Amino acid sequence: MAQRITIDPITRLEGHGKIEIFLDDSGKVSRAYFMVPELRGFEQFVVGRPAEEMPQITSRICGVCPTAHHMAATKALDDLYKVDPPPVAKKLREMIYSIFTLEDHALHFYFLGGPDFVVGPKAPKAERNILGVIGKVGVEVGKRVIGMRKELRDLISLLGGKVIHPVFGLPGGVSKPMTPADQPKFIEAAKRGVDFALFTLNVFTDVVLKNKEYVDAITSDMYTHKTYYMGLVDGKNRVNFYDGRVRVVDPTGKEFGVFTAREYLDSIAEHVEPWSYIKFPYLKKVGWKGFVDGADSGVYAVAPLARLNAADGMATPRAQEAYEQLYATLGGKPVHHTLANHWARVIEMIFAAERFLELASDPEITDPKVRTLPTEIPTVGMGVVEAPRGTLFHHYETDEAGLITKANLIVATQNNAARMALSVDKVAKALINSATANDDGALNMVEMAFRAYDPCHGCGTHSLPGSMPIRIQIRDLAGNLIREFSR
Amino acid sequence: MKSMLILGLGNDMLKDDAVGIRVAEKLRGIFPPAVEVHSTSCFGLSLLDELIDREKVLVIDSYVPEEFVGSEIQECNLDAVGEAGSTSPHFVGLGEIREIMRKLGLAFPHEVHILAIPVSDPITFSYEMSPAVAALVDEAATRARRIVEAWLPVAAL
Repeated sequence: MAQRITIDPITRLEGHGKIEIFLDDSGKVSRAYFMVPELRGFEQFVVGRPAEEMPQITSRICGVCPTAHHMAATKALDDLYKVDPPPVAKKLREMIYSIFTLEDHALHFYFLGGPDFVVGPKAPKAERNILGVIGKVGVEVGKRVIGMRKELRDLISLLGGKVIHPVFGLPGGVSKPMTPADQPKFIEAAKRGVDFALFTLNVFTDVVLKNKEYVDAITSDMYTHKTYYMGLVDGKNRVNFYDGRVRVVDPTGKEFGVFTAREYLDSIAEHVEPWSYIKFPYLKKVGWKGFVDGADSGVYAVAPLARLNAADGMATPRAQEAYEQLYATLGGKPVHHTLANHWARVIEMIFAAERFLELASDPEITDPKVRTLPTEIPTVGMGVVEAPRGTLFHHYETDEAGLITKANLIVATQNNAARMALSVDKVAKALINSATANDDGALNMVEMAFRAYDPCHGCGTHSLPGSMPIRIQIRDLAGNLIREFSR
Repeated sequence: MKSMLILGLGNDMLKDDAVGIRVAEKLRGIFPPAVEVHSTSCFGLSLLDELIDREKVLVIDSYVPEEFVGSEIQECNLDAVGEAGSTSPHFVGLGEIREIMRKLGLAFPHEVHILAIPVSDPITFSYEMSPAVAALVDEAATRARRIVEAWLPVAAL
């Protein structure tokens, strides 16, 4: 009998999600769907509000990416008011952004994605969690992760106010300079950040790369899609999280296009499916050909691996070394293996830490001139940054008084939505059938397919009493419940 | 110094999800300095920062019942929840945070009490709560006040 398997909510994601796997009459997967929850009415909510509120409003959409939204919104306001921030303001923004990326990537590596590799995809479910990671890497490392994370968040707060309620970015600059007295704190923390990131690369090397089973999983066909890749690059086509142009490479690694935030609508269109609240962006010049990979399909990826694929290198020395090692190990550019995102994330941790140190040590970083006051009448503004989870676009239109008349956001998880759907479907078809529908390890490996992207559904969920149950339902195609269990 | 904390959780832009924050607002300024009142839309591991060096914590949050009509404000102690968090593969919540802090040798609060308020719509962007949920704020604040007052020595009241 045809069956439907539901994994709801998806484990360890930031926010709820759901997977439904449909089995055909022979017990094989006919199609697996990756679904996300709905947040209603954002566009209507912001219409009529002053554009200056957008960095605060968008940073509170959820508790996961506040700094990314804050920065994309701030850059959109620069564009809206046609104002160029002073050099030190750009450096301060990039420094804060580097701190945020380092902290966010560390959280994912150790605590959200970590259980899959550090503990192991088929480890007993009671161990496949944060506590299992601590058990594996040791209490001292656990303390170091927690301590580093707190130190980085405290630095963001020192300069920009509460992480979830930042008062940092303003059109034309930032709200306050870094004082000479505070600079040494940032420099010392950045040095610790570099050590921490390099230490994390060693952990990844020891735990993952020296384990043949894990490396085989990374390079396996079921976790591989040959798609386009997108990421922000600087003037030398190196990865940049805060500023630059958006570069797209094709599945062979050849440059397909480069565009600015202002040009995003010329490059990206969105496809709608009846089974998902999320829209599926695709490359307009290639077109939507369905959930398929290859050069003829407009499906593309963002996030750490995509950024590395879309760039020609890293802008800091230790990150560049690690970048070269990744491509030498995995057979050159581009790498199409979804699970290599975890490795790319660690490389980006190194880049974020090194860039943080560069900027904190910059003699100009304490320059008090941190803002250019806007004088132009606002009309349209667009901004782009690389959120930890991928490229993030903000687009606002206002009346002459600066009140929002239209807002559009394309967030990282949206950009990855089509490729994530591909990933879930492919792994489910490879691993799931009526005989493995009860296999916790197999179901976890389906979840690993999208967890590597570090998706965020942004619903600001804060569960009580502390954990959300996983409900797996198997139904026939008529919707009749055949079996239900929790984990 | 160890202190007591009232922690309102929620997102004040997401309609009924604001209720924990609104109740916490009602409690500001009525307790002695040993009782801090915070509210946050952070979740997950960020809650660990709030719990460090606390003696007792009252968490005020929302829950989505299967049927809103007829649902009531719920109270429980985290200890009554058991060890569910430590065996969950899901992301970090209070249960996991308790286990993480214990494992890392960090002092977890002696008592974590939870006040959970039923809501019907925590997913629509709005600064206005549903009238039925807004009507529960005063009752929740009264119950929260009673819980915290029981923690304080008589001389502090």
